[in-house]
Amino acid sequence: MKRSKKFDTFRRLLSTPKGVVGVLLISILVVSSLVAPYITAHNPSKQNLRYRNSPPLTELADGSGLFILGTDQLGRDMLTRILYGTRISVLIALAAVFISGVIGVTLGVVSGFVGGWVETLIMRFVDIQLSLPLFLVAMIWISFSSPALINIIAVIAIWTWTQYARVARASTLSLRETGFVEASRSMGASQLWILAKHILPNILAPVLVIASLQFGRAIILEATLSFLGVGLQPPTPALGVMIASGRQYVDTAWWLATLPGVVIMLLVLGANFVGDVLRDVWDPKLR
Amino acid sequence: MLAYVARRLVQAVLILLILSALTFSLLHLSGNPASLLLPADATSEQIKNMSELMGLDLPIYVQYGRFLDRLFHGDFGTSYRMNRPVWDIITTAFPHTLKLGVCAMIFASLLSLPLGMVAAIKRDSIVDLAATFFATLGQSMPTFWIAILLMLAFSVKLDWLPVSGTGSLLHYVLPTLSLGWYSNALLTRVIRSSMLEVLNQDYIRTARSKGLLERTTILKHGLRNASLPVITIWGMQLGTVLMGSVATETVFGWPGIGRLSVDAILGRDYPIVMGVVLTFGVLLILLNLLVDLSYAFLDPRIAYS
Repeated sequence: MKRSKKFDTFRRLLSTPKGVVGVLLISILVVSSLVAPYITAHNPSKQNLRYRNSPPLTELADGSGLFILGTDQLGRDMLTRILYGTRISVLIALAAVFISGVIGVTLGVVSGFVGGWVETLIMRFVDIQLSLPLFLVAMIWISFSSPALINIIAVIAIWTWTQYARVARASTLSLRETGFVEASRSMGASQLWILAKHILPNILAPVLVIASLQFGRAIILEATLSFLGVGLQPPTPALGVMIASGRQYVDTAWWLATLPGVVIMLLVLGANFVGDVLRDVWDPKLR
Repeated sequence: MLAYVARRLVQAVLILLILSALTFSLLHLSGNPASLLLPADATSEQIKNMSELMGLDLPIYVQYGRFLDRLFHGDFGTSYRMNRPVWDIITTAFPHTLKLGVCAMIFASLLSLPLGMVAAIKRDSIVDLAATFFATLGQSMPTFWIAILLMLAFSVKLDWLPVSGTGSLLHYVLPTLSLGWYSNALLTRVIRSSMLEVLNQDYIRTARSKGLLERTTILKHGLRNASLPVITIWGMQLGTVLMGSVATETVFGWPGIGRLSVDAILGRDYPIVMGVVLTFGVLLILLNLLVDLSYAFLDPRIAYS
């Protein structure tokens, strides 16, 4: 029963052109970044100063290879660096989405289910966070602690949990009053049972919609932090770092700053497409 | 209404206190700024003297207390690196950010309003598909990258517009487009979907059936009711717009608060960092309050007490 429902969602995701494009974009980018060593023979940090700032499709002098997307200011292969950069972006975004999802859903469900001062406290916190210049606080946090992966993930997670909390709370509030929860309660089910058996499975849908949209947002946040010089640092092949260092060569070597951005855009576009279709499937009212 | 505003303002002061305490501790747990101000070959003796001079050897809560005390007397401190009062530096930079922000908002609204409305009225037409696609695409591009693309196209290749600076009106074009890009995309989508919802309501059918002009129906009955969700989204996205202004100002060398904050954070200029955080904090809190108050203005059913 449960299995067929999941299958149904996936089938409907693939029944719209938007869904197909979204799923394809994300899978192609993620898979190719995972198998990067098999796609390219280059090393992401190996410099080759003789070939610095070579345009796309430059052949090696001895004919032994090709820089498909050109090289950067230190003669490093762009394609290889972009593939490894995609890997880092996806890893950070997935981790941030997971952590913020767990925090947000837990707090949201608890506040919807328990109510009272707990709910007031949590939701007040959500409101306050919206009016804080979190972007600056995030920059300060990372820049003054260390630009380690874990700090960047933590900052993005803390930044984005509120939306899950709002949605989870709203869904919990409406589910709490439904017939099947009432029935379950009248049959003597414990709070924990109702939560695990009736509430959580039913808020999964809206939470997944938020998660796919937040995945794209997390990728942009990380890239922006790295671009501004407070996130990942060179020589890490992160997409934002590559754009920042390529910016100085924008008049002589356009591919340095533009190509990594194309990958960011396609990743986020894929996530937004998937999120849109999932929302249409689960909540046609919001179209 | 007045009581509500007063309560929100008291709340705002509390939030700003928490924000300043948070930023202050983040800054001061990370190291001693005295060593940054002295030459690299300064002895530990010199660093110690400097720390004592600046009061950095005191416990952190005493330092924070002193900071608040000075703040309440209108003294925001002096920049470590520029040797000018923080208040002067921020008030010089702020008008630049404000002007750019207003230009970007105007651009985003002028484009998204007709685009979103036409998309909703002519649902599933070519216009609708194109508008929706460009809106989704626009939301998928990081602001700093759009800024670089625009610069590459219009300054480097075509040589139509200046790369950086603030001198003439031409200097505003590229930063305005970059900063407004994301908001325009977002607003187009929100206006479209909230318009779609409103157009299905009974009162629109009533308005049409009583022979009201289609234009009057859509503008007077549709748009006003569709504007509520648009305002909500504005309120929720202010933080993203803030991030966009930091990115845009950095790329175009715009002398506003956004670039000032990046420079101050990277340069460990603590007094400026505290200053910009509080400035942006006040700004966001006030804008959020305005958003909340505009609900009551747009929808008389909402009353604050």
